[in-house]
Amino acid sequence: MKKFSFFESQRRVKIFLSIITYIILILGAGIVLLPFTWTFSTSLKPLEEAFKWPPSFIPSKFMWSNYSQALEKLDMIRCTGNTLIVTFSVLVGTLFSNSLAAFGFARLRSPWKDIIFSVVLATMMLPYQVTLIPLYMIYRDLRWLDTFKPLTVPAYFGNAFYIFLLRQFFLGIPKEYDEAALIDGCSYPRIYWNIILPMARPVLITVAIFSFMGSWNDLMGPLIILSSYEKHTLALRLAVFRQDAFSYALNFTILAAGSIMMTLPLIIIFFFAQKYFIRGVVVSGLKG
Amino acid sequence: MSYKRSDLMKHENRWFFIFILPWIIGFFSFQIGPMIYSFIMSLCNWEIISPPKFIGLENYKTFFTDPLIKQCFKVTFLFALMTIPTGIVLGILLALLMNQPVKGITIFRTIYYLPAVTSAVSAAILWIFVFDPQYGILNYLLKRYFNIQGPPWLGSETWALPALAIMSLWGIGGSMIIYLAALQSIPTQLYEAAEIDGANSIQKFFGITLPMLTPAIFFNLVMGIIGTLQTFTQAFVTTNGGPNNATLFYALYLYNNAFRYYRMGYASALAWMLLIIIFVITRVVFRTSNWVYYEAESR
Amino acid sequence: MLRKCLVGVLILVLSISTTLSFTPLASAKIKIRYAHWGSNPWIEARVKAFNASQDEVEVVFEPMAEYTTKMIVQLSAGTAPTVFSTGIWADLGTWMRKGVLKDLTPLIERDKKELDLSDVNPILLKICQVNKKYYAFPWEVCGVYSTWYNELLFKKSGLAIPPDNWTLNDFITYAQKLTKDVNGDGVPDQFGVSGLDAWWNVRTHAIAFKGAFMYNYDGTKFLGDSPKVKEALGIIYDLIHKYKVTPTRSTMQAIAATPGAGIALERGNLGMQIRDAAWTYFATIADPKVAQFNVLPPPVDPATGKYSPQDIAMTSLSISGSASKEETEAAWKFIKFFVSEAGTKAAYDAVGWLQRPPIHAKQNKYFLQPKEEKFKGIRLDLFTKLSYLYVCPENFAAVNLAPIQGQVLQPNWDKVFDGKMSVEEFLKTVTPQVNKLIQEGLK
Repeated sequence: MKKFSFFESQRRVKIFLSIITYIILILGAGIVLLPFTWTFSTSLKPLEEAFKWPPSFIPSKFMWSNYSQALEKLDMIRCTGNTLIVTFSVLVGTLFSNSLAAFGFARLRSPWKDIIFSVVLATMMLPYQVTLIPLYMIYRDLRWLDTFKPLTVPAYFGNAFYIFLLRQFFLGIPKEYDEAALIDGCSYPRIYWNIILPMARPVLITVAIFSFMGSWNDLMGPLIILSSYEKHTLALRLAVFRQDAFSYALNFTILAAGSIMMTLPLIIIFFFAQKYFIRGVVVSGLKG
Repeated sequence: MSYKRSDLMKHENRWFFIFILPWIIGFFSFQIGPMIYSFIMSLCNWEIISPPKFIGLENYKTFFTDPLIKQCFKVTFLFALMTIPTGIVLGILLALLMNQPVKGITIFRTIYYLPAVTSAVSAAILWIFVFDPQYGILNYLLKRYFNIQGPPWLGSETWALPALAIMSLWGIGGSMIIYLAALQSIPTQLYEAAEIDGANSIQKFFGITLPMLTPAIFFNLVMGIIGTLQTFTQAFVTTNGGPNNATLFYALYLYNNAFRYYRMGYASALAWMLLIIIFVITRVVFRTSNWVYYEAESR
Repeated sequence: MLRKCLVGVLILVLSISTTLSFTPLASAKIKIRYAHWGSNPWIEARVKAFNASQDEVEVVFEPMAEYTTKMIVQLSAGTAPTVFSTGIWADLGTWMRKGVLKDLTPLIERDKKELDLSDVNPILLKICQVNKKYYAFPWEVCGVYSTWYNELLFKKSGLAIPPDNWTLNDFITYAQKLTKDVNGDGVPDQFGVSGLDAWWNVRTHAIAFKGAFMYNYDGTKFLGDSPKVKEALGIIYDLIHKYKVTPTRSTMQAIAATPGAGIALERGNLGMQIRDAAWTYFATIADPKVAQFNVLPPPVDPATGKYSPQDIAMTSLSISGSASKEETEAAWKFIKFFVSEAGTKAAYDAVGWLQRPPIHAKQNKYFLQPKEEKFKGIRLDLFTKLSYLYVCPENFAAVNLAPIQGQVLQPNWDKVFDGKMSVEEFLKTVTPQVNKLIQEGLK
């Protein structure tokens, strides 16, 4: 008798907890989603309604044409293509260069390690506004201006943020794996490739997500480097249409539609990337 | 014996440099040059579109006598104090919540990550609506459900900074993912072993989860310091430093000096002073980071 | 294992190579870049028409975001476009004085006949000169402020439309009558005037009311001691605090962010606003059920019985100082077309109306006869008729005004707006600081 009611109450507690969890999640989601629902509703309004005050949430007419107009007027397909080129290139470079460096900092010993790591971190401490112009001049001398190269090539040479992040996670992997592999005669590259990388899958996915989102939304880089209209990325194209007050007002609803379309791929990618967020490889005991 | 060890160390040392070689190449190609250039400019009076004039440490002297610098520090550090601790706690709580095996959790994770994915400009515009004292949602809710007359938020000298802090915490999804990844990296065998030993949830949390989260917490703490002390975009797009310099962030003042007032020399000095300050603080944080638990023995 | 490596290398190579851009084939035409702050249908129409009208020069339009920042970077690195838009509010003064713009005087002298500047307000040309040398060429008249008002609100409040010789006292009365609590919650939500928290608007209103320019004619002194400035700022102070016809800071916040957000003419909750001709664009987005726009001249100064001297500015085109002779000639050709009747007509034909009057009075017909339905009845002629009033010292400023405005004037005015500082204190505080900054800038 007692045993039965114990399991009953256990189950009740579980259900209660999950209901509380749902309530908190939904309330929070409401707060978080507020600005997005606002942009979405603006993107469907006819232009006159977009400026009504106090504003209305539900459009009187559903102007799906704002979306087709955005595609056409902002030439979104070409811009998306440009953005994809840059983003994928950066993604590959980021995963490649930063995991290598982080492996060095996390798994290898060197008398220079601490000093160099301090320098790595220090590169993040100088505001970009004062290195913008000299860096621009470097690109000018390399004749890389108005190309995608300045946006993509540096990603193949490491980035302090990701090096630091990956280093933290790599340090969480037990050293026993490395030692066992070394005893077996494994080289460091193989340890890197066959042991560390697979075990660091969640953080690598995280880096991939950050990198993708970062280059997709990056405005400052394309703004300074690119000139030709055809080379614009999505972020830049939208910014250009917002710059002039008249253009902004005239295209207000179209720009809202453009922003939604620009964010949508990120949402979809993040949603599906979570599949790879599953728990890391669990190895019980050391294998040879 | 020691002969063998030094050989091994040389070997590891060599491989260390091989692994960080891409970073080294990048550093010497794209980073060191501009950094040195900006340091030299900090010793000059440079109006960007005209050649720089060497003036020695004048800019640094100005730094110590500039009355606005005090305001910048006040604003920036206050903001950091408001956002870093709350950010860490909120991020962890959110990640724990997102780690629940509740149905549809992937949808919720996506929703909570959404703010981190919005461009700063769009976010700022949306939040200005939310914070509008007369017609914004925030004051409307405060009045309706709590019967409080909300403050003028972005238009108030006292409330503008907290408003920006709220805006920044809305983007907590970014650090949430890092904690989530960390949670997902904890081997389940640890929990299994603990359960066999009869540990309850609280003991599991403080004994396993939290220690295993410390590398991620440390990361967010250091990045929080480095990042918030350089906060620029939110203030630039919403309040532009006002009202009456209540949101004059250090990086915003730097930007104004660089690109609005054509005082790039002074801005460079500001940048280098900031670097020194951030570097010192970070160093202290690293030195006192014994609470961070790394599974790997060597650091 | 090897296969995985090869695939990895392949991906690496592909991703690097896709970022390599190919160089276009050289063409016989001269291609020059023209940059402007954002997209602009009038300019784009002119560019298109120019390219279609001849074969030697092709202008590639480059709309930019963060215009001044990017232009400064490019000017400093020598990679600026050949021709670009310049203007008072885009740091023209600083660029002119620092020598990064090409001296256009020989070109203007040479083509004087073709340009025919007889119907151009000489002030516009004066703004483009430093030490009698031209560094920009104007194409549009801006900063000509008049009083925009919402006719519908006047009617709803039972007010007659003021006559052209309405005075400042009338302005204040109308502002008071238009400020009311419409929805009965005890807080006014309709206002007579707005925007007086921003120093630029304060300055505009001060000039409109009393001709109270803040700087002397060559921009070397801040006129904080002038009785006119004190009087004008006093009137503005009263509008804010005594008559309370403006929204307090707490209701003003949303205006800066989005066009027409918050308290604004086209929202139907603002009675009057002193702005330049380009405000017509709000007429295109306003809901006619809540706002119907029209224009009045600035109010007459009761002390003189006449309109006060007013402000004027212009948008212009400049050529990069580092442009080659060939590029300069090509750009100059473009500039001449831009301001000619052909250029203006192309813009008018493409959009149906002009934002502001062109510099040539002969071309005013394009500005005064918009095809756009919503503009019928708006007295656009007020922006061209009163041109004899327009004087504009602040645009002659000898130093960069951005730090003065950002560090001294605006923060202190914030205190005045919030009622924490009187006008006397304000002027006492800012005048020495501003003059000091001017002296430093002149060195």
